[in-house]
Amino acid sequence: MESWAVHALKRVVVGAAIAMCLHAAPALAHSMLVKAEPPRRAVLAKPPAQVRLWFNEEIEGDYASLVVLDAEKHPVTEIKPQLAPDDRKSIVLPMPELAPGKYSVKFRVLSVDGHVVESAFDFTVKGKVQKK
Amino acid sequence: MIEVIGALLRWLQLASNMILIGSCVFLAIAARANTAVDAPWLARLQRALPWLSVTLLLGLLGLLATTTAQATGVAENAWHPGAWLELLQKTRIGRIWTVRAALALLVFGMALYIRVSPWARWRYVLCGTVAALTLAAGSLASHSAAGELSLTSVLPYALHIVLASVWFGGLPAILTVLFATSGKPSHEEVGRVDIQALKRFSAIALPVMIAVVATGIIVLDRMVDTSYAALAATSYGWFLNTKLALLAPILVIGACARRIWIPSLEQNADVAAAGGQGLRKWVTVEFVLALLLVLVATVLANAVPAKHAVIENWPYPFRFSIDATWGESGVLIGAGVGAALLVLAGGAVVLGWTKRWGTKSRIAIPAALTACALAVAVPPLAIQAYPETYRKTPVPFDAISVANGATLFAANCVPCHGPQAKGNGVLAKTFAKPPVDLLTEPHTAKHTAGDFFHWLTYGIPGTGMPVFADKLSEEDRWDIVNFLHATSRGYQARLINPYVAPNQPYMAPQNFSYATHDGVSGTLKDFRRQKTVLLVLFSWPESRARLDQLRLAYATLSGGNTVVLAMPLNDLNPEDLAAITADIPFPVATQGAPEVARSYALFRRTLSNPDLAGEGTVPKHMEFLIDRYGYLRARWIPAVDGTGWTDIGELMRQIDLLNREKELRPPPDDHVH
Repeated sequence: MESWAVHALKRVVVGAAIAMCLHAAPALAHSMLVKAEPPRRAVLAKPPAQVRLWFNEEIEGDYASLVVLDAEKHPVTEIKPQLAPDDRKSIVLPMPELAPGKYSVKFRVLSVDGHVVESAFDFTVKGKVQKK
Repeated sequence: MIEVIGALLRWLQLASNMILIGSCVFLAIAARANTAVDAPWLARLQRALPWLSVTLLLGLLGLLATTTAQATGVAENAWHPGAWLELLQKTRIGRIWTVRAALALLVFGMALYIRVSPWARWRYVLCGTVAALTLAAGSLASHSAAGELSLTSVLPYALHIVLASVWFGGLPAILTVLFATSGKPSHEEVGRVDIQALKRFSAIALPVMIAVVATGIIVLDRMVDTSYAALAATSYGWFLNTKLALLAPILVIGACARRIWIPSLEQNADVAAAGGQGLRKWVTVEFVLALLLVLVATVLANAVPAKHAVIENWPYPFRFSIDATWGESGVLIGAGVGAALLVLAGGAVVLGWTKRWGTKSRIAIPAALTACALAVAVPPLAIQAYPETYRKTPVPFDAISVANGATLFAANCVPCHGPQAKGNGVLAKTFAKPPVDLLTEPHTAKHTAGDFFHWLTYGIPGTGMPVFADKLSEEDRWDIVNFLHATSRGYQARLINPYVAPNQPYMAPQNFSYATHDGVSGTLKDFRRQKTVLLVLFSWPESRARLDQLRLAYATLSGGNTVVLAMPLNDLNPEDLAAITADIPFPVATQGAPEVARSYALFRRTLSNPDLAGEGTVPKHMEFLIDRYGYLRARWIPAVDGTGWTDIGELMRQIDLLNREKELRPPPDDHVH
């Protein structure tokens, strides 16, 4: 016959295991965006030639996603971002000539330790916005 | 759902890998050639090894599937072998998985060989070593390896899990020995276990557990850093506390087994039978607790570490802070009395041992004195806290944020707080409790950034401070918090002057981004550990002579490992910019300058001219020296400091002082706290 302790523990373990798995956090990022070009919320006099992001950990280039959306939420380019040739912690996306207006940068990258970093920020290109 | 399955699979492969290691170590240490013949536990344990290897392989396969889904962000990819292969080929975690799977296959082959071959210790050692490599390889994709992949970053974690495997994996082996008799054992059979096997394993269990705890403390220190509040308010903290709470009874059971039950097996039949019963029951309990502990450790390894965790909701209405309470009445007295009581508690421990007090007295007296010490010293350190108290600002402490905060403060706060946040707005006297002086009093040092965010969000009941949650976005409220920090730092910076105080870096200025007339872009942080920065905020044409002087001195300044960054305080038209940059050898900012000008103007205050009246006056020309480690070290304002750095020799002497310094403090943080 099982002892009281073993019997009680079995119940506790099953209950706790279920609770813990339900609490199992998604692979939340602990890598961070440390620098962006253009910087977040920058107001630029000249449109940027590229968007470049730097992280505090090395990035898996093939799994990096970086999209720049215009005010109407349309991507400004279909080009995929690339790892910066000189820095595995950085990704680059060349930009076409951007018209004045507000833009959103959305990114999702996989750091080499398997964690996903996902966030967004805005920047603005100064000038008269053409009404469509 | 994918996260839950992923956590269970991680647990499965970790537990089976650990048990494999522990079983092999147990077999190598506890078994002898002559026990092989008549010890049924040995055969059972050897039969279990291939099954454990298969479980490990299945766990690894499941882990690959769930990791692929998480990495790609597409749940269906968990069932797509093509996506698995891509992950294996293109990522570091994929390559690490391949190594682990190959090693696990090798373990499987060796486990099969052990089962059919005669007893030999080297086979267990080899199988255990390969299983340990399989486990240790996983640490290359852990939190510990995330920052930089080096021996010092990975070794403590790898050692921790391998050593923990020796203990945890040894428990089922011990149970196999204890339950070796078939069916329901008789009273005598319970006491007739293989005592020598248990004693040999018990001899290594204690040093292994000490090493597990020691390496665990090292890993813990790296994962927590100074974010102790996270231990009481985040998933990581709660799982860590659960892990430690599970460890405590495990250690007690281990100690009892070592000191009481195993020695009793060698005594007379009744004592041995009681010892055997105790061992069976409590080692089973220990194993179940250990399984749970490994599950907690699995979740912990995948949770955001305390040092990076965001405390979204601090659950307590108070917090403890030495910084915020030091100097208040009662704190010093409480600390003194508490320290004295702790000394007495230490004395009681020593006396208890030397005078051979009874067990109850030896524990109760020091415990009571320690409890009294904490009861006296800790409560005075408590101050009010809010759900947002430990929230980390998502907005970096940079010139853009501070400048935006300044604009928002001017638009929303000036009537009560005054134009310079001194608490002297035109409406200030209409309140029973006027707004505090946020400029000259150290409120940003005594309260967290989250406290300010809470007050801005919900207002302060009983005062005139209104709710801004419905008026300002979250980002805007953080901008105001950053502005208040910059304002307070600006007032503290009045102690800074044109002369560097050697080895005293303390003022962390806000970072900034810029683009220059020659097409270069960057941030202030880019110069860290490389160059001293001479930041020149100039007005045109008023600063023309000074810019000419810097142009002529540029070679000297460059030779002193210093870059010059010139930022216009006023808007420049294209003609002026062309005139300034015609033959200037250093960069002039064309983007980012308005924010830098606005936020660095807060550093205009000096001891002789704190500029507290009205809206204050921004000088036409200011220069700052920022050292290689990111700290503001000297400032020259011609209108206040006189000739100062017009003597380039004097400026170079200050730069030389900075160049001779080593790194004295960690670099300034990107966010306020």
